[in-house]
Amino acid sequence: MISISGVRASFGSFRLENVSLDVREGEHFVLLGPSGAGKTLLVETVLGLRRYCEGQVVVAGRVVRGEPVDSVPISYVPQDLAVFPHLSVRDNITFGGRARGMDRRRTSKKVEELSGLLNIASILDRRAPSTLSIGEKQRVALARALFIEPRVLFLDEPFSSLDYYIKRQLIEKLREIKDTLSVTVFQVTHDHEEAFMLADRIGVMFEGRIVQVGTPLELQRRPATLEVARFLLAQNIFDGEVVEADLGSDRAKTRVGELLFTSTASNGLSRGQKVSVVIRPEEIHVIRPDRPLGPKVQENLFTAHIESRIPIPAGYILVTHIEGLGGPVEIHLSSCAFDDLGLESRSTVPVSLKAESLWLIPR
Amino acid sequence: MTSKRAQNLSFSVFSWAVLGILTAYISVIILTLLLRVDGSSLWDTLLSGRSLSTIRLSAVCATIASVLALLFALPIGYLLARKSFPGKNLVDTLLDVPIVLSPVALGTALLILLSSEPGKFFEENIASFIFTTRGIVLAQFSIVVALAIRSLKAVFEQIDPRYEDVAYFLGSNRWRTFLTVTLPLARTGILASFILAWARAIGEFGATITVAGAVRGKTETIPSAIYLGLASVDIQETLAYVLLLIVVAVTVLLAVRLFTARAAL
Repeated sequence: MISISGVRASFGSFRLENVSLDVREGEHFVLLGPSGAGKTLLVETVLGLRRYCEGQVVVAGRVVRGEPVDSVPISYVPQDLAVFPHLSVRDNITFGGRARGMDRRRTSKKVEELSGLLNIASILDRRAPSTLSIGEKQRVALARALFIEPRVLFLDEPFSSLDYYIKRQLIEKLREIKDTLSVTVFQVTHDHEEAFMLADRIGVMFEGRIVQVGTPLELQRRPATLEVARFLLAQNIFDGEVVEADLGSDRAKTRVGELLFTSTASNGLSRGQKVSVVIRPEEIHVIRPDRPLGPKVQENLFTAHIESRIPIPAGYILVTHIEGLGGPVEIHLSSCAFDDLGLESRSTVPVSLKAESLWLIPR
Repeated sequence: MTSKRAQNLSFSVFSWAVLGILTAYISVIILTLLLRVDGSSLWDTLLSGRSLSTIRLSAVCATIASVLALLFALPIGYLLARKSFPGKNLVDTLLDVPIVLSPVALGTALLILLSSEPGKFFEENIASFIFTTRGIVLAQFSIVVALAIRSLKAVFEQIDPRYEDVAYFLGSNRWRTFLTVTLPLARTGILASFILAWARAIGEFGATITVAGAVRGKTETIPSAIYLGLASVDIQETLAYVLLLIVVAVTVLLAVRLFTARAAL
């Protein structure tokens, strides 16, 4: 549906560097990156609102070059939503219908459908959108975008200024809409949670470059570079050296400090190669002394000394120290697991840095 | 700390003092006029047939010139606010010339243009401007169009182009987007621009008198009447017109302020 190949563009001192990616029909693609990575510039380039100097952008079979595509219905919800302040909520939503000459009966039917889907029936007759809350405005902007039954929906940081509860509600709603209307979505965000909850695939962007494209699971478990790993909050990153790599079984042994780690993916590395060893805090398994070890947690067994614990909404971050490893190891634990394990009164805990969750990135 | 506080205080005192001096200066000017004017003669002058005709001519010409200026300034202001094109700085500078040029100089340039061969042909065969009411409109238009372009460019620059992009993707063409999104969003600014242009036009003197002259009962506008009043040492008549222009100026400025304040709410 969207094909971007080798696009280079410069906007003042900022550049898009050889950007290539494909978004498939019906896919929910999320472009994830920190603020200032060039995500909005890329979306605007794909939309035809900005010119590029090299490469090619194709949307729904049409080459885009500095002129907005209008061969297929495309909707765009910008970061500031651009809800027309001079129109009522209903007129905002039906704007596309009027512009496309939609008849009254169909317009009312669509308004009814969308207001039900987005829970905005009670604010439809509000005359001044300035009186809407930001969450209501988001819904109105989304309803207006969906009114024209777009084939591609571009969303630029659609939930950026919402508080957590409303954001979660709208994320759920967007998933529902995506399933109901089978529209291709190209979304931009800097929020990992939003990206992982919504995306079929995620493209990670830094400083005008796409550094990795993959499914949420691929990105979580197999970050392509150290900067992707750091951006995706993999707190546990250690310097190591491959001591054994079996390309046949795709297993590797890596020395980190005085310890030896087994990982189930050798990542094409060879013996003696310097690597960064990465494991996400939630992938570290805390072993219950009273239960037998499952097959996935029988390797990389160590004793972690709890140095501090930091409460977070979902439970705790345990900051631990594993003898011989060097740096601290962070473990995320739910409140329930924390209580079950009686960690309130304990200073050590047996852990497994699961071999399948350990990822090696060449340095 | 004490020294910083003292410096802060002295800064406030300085700012208030400057404000006070200038406000007093303008108030004294107006007050002096009010003290010099003879009440009964003021009304007699303003309600005389000649005055009413002068006021009517001024208002009609200023309105036509301002409407024409707005018709040009709307697309030009929009284009300058939204688009980049080769030579934009040059065009922008050229359009600003009437703002910085002395009105008499602009009037003289218009007169020379109308006296040239093509100008003469236009004057004789299509429409006459020299010493006619059309000349008043032309002179006023030439002055206020630049002002209207400048203010409308600023108005359009304040409107987020995202509104137009969204409208375009929703299926609206550029005309429809301009008429149904951009213009309604700019309406307060457009109204304010019109009022300011009208006020500038009604007070225009230099270019008007150069092109249209100040023929009593024919091309006499309020500023020309002030000039003629001074020339014939008729102080009471002059004062009446000056006060009328002051009332117009204060009313216009208050109206613009009220409009823009309401739009900002």
